[in-house]
Amino acid sequence: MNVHVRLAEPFWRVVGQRNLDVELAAGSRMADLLAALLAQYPALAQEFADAPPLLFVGEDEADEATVLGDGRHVHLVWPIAGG
Amino acid sequence: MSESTTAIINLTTGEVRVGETPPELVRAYLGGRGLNMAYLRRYLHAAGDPRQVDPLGPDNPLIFGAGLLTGTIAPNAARFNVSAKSPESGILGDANCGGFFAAAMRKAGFDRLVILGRAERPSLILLEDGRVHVQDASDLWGLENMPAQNALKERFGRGTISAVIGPAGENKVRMAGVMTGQKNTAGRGGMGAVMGSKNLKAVVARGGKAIAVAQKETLRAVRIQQQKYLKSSKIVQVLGHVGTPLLYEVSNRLGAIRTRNSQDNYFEDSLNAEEIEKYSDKMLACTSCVVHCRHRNTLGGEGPEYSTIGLLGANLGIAPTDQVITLNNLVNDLGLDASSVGTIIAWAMELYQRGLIGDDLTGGPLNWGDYETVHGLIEDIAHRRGFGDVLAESTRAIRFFPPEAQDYLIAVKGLPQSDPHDVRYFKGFALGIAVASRGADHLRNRPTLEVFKLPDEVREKIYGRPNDPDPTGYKDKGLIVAWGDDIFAVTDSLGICKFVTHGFNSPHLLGYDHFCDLIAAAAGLKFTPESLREVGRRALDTERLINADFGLSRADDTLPKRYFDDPMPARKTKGHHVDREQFQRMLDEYYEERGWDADGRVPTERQAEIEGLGERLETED
Repeated sequence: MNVHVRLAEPFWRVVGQRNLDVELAAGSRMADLLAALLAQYPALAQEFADAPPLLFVGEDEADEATVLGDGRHVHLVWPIAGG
Repeated sequence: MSESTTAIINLTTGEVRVGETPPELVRAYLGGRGLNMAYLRRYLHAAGDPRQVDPLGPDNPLIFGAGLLTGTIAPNAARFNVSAKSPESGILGDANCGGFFAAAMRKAGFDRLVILGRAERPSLILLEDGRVHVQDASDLWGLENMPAQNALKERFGRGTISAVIGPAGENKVRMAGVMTGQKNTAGRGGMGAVMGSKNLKAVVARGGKAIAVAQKETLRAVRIQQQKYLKSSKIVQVLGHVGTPLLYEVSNRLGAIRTRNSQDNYFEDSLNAEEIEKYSDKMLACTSCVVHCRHRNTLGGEGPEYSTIGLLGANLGIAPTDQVITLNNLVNDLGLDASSVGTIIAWAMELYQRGLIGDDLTGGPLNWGDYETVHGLIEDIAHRRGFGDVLAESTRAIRFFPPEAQDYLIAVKGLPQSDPHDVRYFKGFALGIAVASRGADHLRNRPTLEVFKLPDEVREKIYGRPNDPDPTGYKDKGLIVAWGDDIFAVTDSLGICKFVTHGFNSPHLLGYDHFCDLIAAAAGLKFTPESLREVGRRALDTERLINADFGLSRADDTLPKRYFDDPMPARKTKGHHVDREQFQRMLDEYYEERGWDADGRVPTERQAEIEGLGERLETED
């Protein structure tokens, strides 16, 4: 199945693009997606260690156990809310 | 200890007195916001009953105060505060600003100006090599922000740095700011209107006196060490790339962007940082800055910041990026506070949408997303024309509207909310804007770490005791808001930017230990982290006493009706609002943390200490 991934600031900078399509096995969870991203873009490991991203699937907040579906939109957002 | 110099300038009589700021006051308040509050209270009392002082009359003291470290090589030490009784809220008015003016003011020989009276004709104050000159500025009256600053550079030479008002300040618009550079604004509370009421177009600094530093080599070493530390921080790096617009996408994804006067809570992606970046050709910095967070835009201005994007974009239903940037540039040219303008226009739009006001008052349709109308209305506000004259009154425009209009006003203590974050979700954010001393404002105490999922032990180390990590709950929010109160008051008194302050957008950055090192090296004053936090507490107590002088009490520490009664409509935050009873319990806990009584009053012995310090300040009578 295919998942559309949106990387917000600053994650996209080490990947070089803000929007990605990632192929995953049917029934994959968010943890599988994160592992796939880290395998393809190792530099993301430091980014995630510095600030674990807020995870969204569509409109809903998700966690590593969230089951993904084909065509779903996943959004990785930096945890920040200042002013 | 380095000497601090204050000038008392009476524009009515032309009298100028220059003297040393009492060292015990510097020790107690440092400078900037803290010391301004000591002077403000003293001068408001000297004028009689503070409640009777007309904010736009000659008795209102207008105070410019540089931070204790401002203009030195301490990291991000660019800032100053402008304080007075606010013509917008009618209570404590205080606005903080960056740029280059405050460093120039100190180099010209002054840490603080107390401006009294009213000039007969449009005037400027020139600060030069330790001397004060009041000069005619009739030729500048009517000029917008940058034309005025450029004319002053032409008149006084290239090294001149000015703080000016635009047409909004001249016309005593209650949302007028004091401007320096293209965008830097002492924006909150209508300090530009106070300046206009005094016929004061500009304060101009020139001259090259070195700022006295106690231990130059030590300060240099501390700066190098702290700069290295700051530059390793992710938030510093990201702000240097994209500035505060990065916050929009995060808040919008959560469903926490004030949209159409908080009827909605998310908006278009066209205001994401990547869209703003397309109009940015350079990142700029203030004096001694290591962050460089300010965009220079290709549409002829600087910015926009997250607040402007949210409040002149989503909050007005305006999505096109170029239109929002153009409105940002417009408010800066005219000398207006973008936060208040965006909030007040959105309020009027909702009143029009609900039929509570009509074309007879507005002069025509006032619809969400109508860029042309908003552009014209902002110009009319600055020039007090037509319906713009009504909105120029900010929250006081309520007198032109039916009583139920109050239900739709996003303001606290008469001040429109400063930032675009819908605070119904993070309860600590809600408490913060409810208790902020100048009214609804995030830069007094915002507990931004609430969004980080920090381990319990880290939260305990930061805040001093175990605390509940649930940002949507009500427990322990008094603790974290009081913590933010104190450290932000200290940085505002040092003249340091929040973007390098511990707890603002990062659990790292500069904290009390770092500040102690900077103060010792720059000013020769010894503090411990505990005694430095006490300065923050004293500033908060003084502000509480000023507002008590104006008759404020616990009942004024509250929120807009909508934040209590209307659940957020969509996204992750859907259904969240602030429960009234739980809010009162948060307030109880907050007062306890602050050491105030259950009615939010400062204890008698602490009031006596502040009175004693205030009496050491000379006044005219």
